[in-house]
Amino acid sequence: MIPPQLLSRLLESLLSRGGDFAEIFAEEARATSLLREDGRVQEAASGTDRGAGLRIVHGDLTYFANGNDLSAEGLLTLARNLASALPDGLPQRQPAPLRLVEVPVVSPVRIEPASVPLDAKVDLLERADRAARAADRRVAQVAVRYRETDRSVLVANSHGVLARDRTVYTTLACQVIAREGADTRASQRVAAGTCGFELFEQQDPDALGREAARVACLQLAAEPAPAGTFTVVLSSRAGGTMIHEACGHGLEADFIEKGLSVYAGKLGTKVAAETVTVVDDGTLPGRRGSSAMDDEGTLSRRAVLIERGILKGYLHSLRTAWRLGQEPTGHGRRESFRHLPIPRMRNTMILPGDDDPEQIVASVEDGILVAEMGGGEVDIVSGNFVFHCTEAYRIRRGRVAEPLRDAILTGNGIEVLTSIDRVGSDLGFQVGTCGKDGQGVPVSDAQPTLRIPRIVVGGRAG
Amino acid sequence: MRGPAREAVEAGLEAIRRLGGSGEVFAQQSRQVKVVVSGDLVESVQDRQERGAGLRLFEDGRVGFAFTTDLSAEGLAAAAREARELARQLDRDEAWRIAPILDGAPLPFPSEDPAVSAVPVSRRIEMAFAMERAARALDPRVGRARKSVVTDVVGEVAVGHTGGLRADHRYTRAVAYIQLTASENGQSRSGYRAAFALGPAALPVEEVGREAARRALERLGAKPGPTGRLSAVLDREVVAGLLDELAPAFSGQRVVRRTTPLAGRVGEAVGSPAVTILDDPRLPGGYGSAPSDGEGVPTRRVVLIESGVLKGFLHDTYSSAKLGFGRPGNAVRGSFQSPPRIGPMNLLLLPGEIPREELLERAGEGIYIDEVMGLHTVDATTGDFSLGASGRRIERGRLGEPVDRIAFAGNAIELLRSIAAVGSDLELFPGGGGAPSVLVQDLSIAGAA
Repeated sequence: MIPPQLLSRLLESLLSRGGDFAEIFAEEARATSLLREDGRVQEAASGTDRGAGLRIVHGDLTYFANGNDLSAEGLLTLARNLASALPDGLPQRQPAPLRLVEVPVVSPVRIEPASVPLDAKVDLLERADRAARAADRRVAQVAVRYRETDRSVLVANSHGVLARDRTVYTTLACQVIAREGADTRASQRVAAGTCGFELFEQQDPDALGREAARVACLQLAAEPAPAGTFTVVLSSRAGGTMIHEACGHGLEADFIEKGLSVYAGKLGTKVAAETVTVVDDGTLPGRRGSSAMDDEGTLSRRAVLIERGILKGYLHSLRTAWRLGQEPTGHGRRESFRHLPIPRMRNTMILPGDDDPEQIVASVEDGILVAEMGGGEVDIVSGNFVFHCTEAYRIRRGRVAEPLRDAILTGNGIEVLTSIDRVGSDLGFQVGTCGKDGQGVPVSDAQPTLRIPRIVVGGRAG
Repeated sequence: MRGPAREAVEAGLEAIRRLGGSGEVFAQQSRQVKVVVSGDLVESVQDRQERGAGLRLFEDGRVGFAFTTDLSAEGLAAAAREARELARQLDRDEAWRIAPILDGAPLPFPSEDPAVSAVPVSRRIEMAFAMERAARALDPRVGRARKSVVTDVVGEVAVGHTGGLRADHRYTRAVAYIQLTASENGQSRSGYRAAFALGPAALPVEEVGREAARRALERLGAKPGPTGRLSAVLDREVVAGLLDELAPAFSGQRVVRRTTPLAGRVGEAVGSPAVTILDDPRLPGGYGSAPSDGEGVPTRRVVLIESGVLKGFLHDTYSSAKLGFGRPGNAVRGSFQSPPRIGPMNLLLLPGEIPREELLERAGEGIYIDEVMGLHTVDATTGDFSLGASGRRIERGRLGEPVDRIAFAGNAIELLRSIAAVGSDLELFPGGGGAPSVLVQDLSIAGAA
C-alpha cells in the first residue's frame, strides 16, 4: 500500500517536532454485498474503502489525523499538519529503523471470494431463500444477505515495527418472517467467519434457511416469557453474549486504566465461580474475531482473563499496556483507518467444564432454558448488563417445555459469574459485531452449557 | 461556488453517461475535529477527513451500487463499471428508477455556522475542560470523566442524476458529550449527557457537565427494582430512543415487503389520541434538518400519526413508484459507502401541555425510567422489544429512591396505545429528532426486589 521508504519518511516527519511515539495505519477494504428479499435479488453493492490514520503520542496526549489520500504528497502533508499541532520547543525524535514483523497466517483462505463468480453468490441466496420458504407454510418473508470483505492493513511505527496483514470475512445471513393470523415473528441465522467461500462447505445455506424458518415459526406458538427471578440454563448453542457483556467489556483495559470498571483493582481476586475460566483468543482459525495481528501490529494471542474464578488479566491496546505497565495482548482494534485503536474483544469464551449438559437441564425443577442469545449491553461502571433471548423455553421438572418469547435477562457481572454453579463439557460459538465508542468490530463469543441459579427475567407475562 | 462534492457528482455522471447508462451520484466531503479530555488531561486531538462517492447505475429495471474513495475521473469510471456489472446480476423491478425532479426551497434558517473553521483547537479543549470541571464542581462524589468530548464537523453533500437533478448543501454540526461516574461507599454509577448546536461556540458545555453529574449522583444507592404491572413515566430521552427504534415501522420499503406491523393500516387508530408523530426535516434547529434527501429530492414535513391515527409512511423513489402512492423525499445516507435507505431526519413525538411533575403526580405510585439498555435489540419487523432499565420509584406522585436491574418487555406499537399522557418537556437530541416524557399505564416490569 505504501512503500517502506515513504513510511520511514512519514515517521520522521511525524516526530520532527517531538513526541514519544508515531504510527501509520493504512487500510484497504474491499467489500461486496448482495441482498435477496421478496423472492428477488434486490440489491448489489461493492466498493473499496481506502485510507490512512496517523498518530503521534506525546505523554498522555494522542494527536490523530486520517484521510483517503494515500499518495506520497497527500500523506506527507497529513503528517506535517499533524506534527505542527505539537507544542513548540520539544526535542526532535528519530524513529527506529523499520523491521518487517513475521506475521503468521491465522485464518487461511482456500477459496478466494473474489475468484467466485457473482452468479454462484446469487445462487447461495436463492438456496437459503427457497429452503426457508419450503420449511413451513407460515413463512411470509425471507431476506438473505451475502457479504464478503477483503481487508488488508499495514502498520508502521517509530519503535521499528512494520507489519502487514490480510483478513477475509465471509458472511451469509438469513432473516425469516413467519406469520399466522395477526401474529408476526422474525428470526435470523448467520453463518460467518474469517475464511473464504469454503465457509459454505461446512455451513449449508439450505440448513441456514431452514433453521431461521424453524425458530421464526416456533416463536409464533411461543408464550410470552414470565417476569421475575428464575433459575436459568444457558445452552452452549446459545452463544456467548452473556460472557461478552458480563465480563468481557469490563476487562477492556481502557476502562480499567481510568478505574471505571467494576473489575478495576481486582487482579488476583475472585470474580467468578471456581469452575469458570475465561479466555479471549484472537488466534482461532476461521473464527470471526480472529486475525494474525491487531490494528497496532501486535501479534494476536490467547489472553487468559479469569482462571478458575480468579481475575488474571485484561485486554490491552499498546496505550493501555504502557500506562498500566503490562504486556500488550493484541487487542488494540479499530473499525477502520478513521478511528484510534482501543482495547476490544476478539473471540471471548468460557472454557468447558465437567458437567453433562443434559444433566444440567434435568437438574432444574422450574426455570428457563436459553437456546439462543441475541444482543446485549452492559454498563461498565455498575457492571449491570442485559441480554436478549431469541430462542428460549420453560424448563418444568427437568424437562424442556413450552417455547417462550421476548425474554430479556438482566444481572450484575461479578454476581452472576460468581453464582454459576454448573459448567457443561460442551462449547458453542456465536458470531456478532460488537459496538463501542461508535466503532463496530467483528467478534465471536463461546461458552459451554451453564446454570445460573437466580437471575431477573423480564417478559410480558406479568 | 462549486465544492469538491459537486465536482465529483459531475465527473461521476460523465462516467455513467459514457457507459450509455442512466444513474445517480452521491458525493460527500467532510472534516471533523474532535477533542477528548479526561481528568484534567487532554487525551486526544483528532482531525478526521472524509471524502467519497456512491454511484447507482440503473439499467432495465435493475440497479447496481458501487462506492469509491478515489474521486478522480478514472476512480469514478471504475465505480460506474462495477455498478453496471452488479446491476446485471439482479432481478428486474421496474420501480427502480432515478428520482423525480420536484419543486423545493432552501431551508428558511441556517444549517451551518460559518465561524466553525475559525475556532482554534485550543478553544475546543478549553470547552471540554470546562464541561468536566463544571461536573466535578457540582459535588465531590463526582469523579474524573471517562471522556469529555467536544467535536464538530463541516461538510458538503451533493447528489445528481443523468435526468438533470442536482442538489447540494453544506452543513456544520457540533456536539458536546460527557461520560462520568459518581462514587460513594464503594459503589459507582455512571452519568451521560450530550448536546448539539450548529457550531462549538453555542454548546452549553457547563450545563451538559452538571446534568451528567446530576444523573450519576441520582443513581447512587440504587436498589433492585420491583416486579409487577405498574404506571410508568418514561423520560424523554428514553422515549426518543424508542421512537428511533420504531422508525423502520414507518418505512415505505417495509410496506412494499410487508415487514412493518403498520402496513395497510392508514386511517386506523394505532396509538392513543395523545400521540402525534411526524418527521420534520425542516425543523429549525433540528440536528437532521436538510433541504434535500439522500436522492436529492426536496424535503418536507410528513405527518405519520396524528392524534393516534396512522396517516402515512416515509418514502423514497422506489417505494412510491412500487406502491403507487407517497411522495419521495425521505431517503437518508449513512455514508457514501451504502445506497440510500428510507429513514427520518428529525422524527418527533409532538409534546403535550403537561409538565413532567404532573405526569409523575398522575402516575401516583409506579416507576420512572430514565435509562434503558439493549435498545438495539428491538425487532423492527414486529416492534417487539425487551429492555433492561434503571430509574427511580414514583411514590405519592414524586420521585423516590433509585432502582436498577429492571427488565421489561413489550411492543413499541402497543406502547403507543398505552400512552396516557404526553409531557410538555420536548427535547431535541443529537442525531436527529426528539420527544417529551410520557406516562404509560400498566407496564409489566421485572426486578429483583
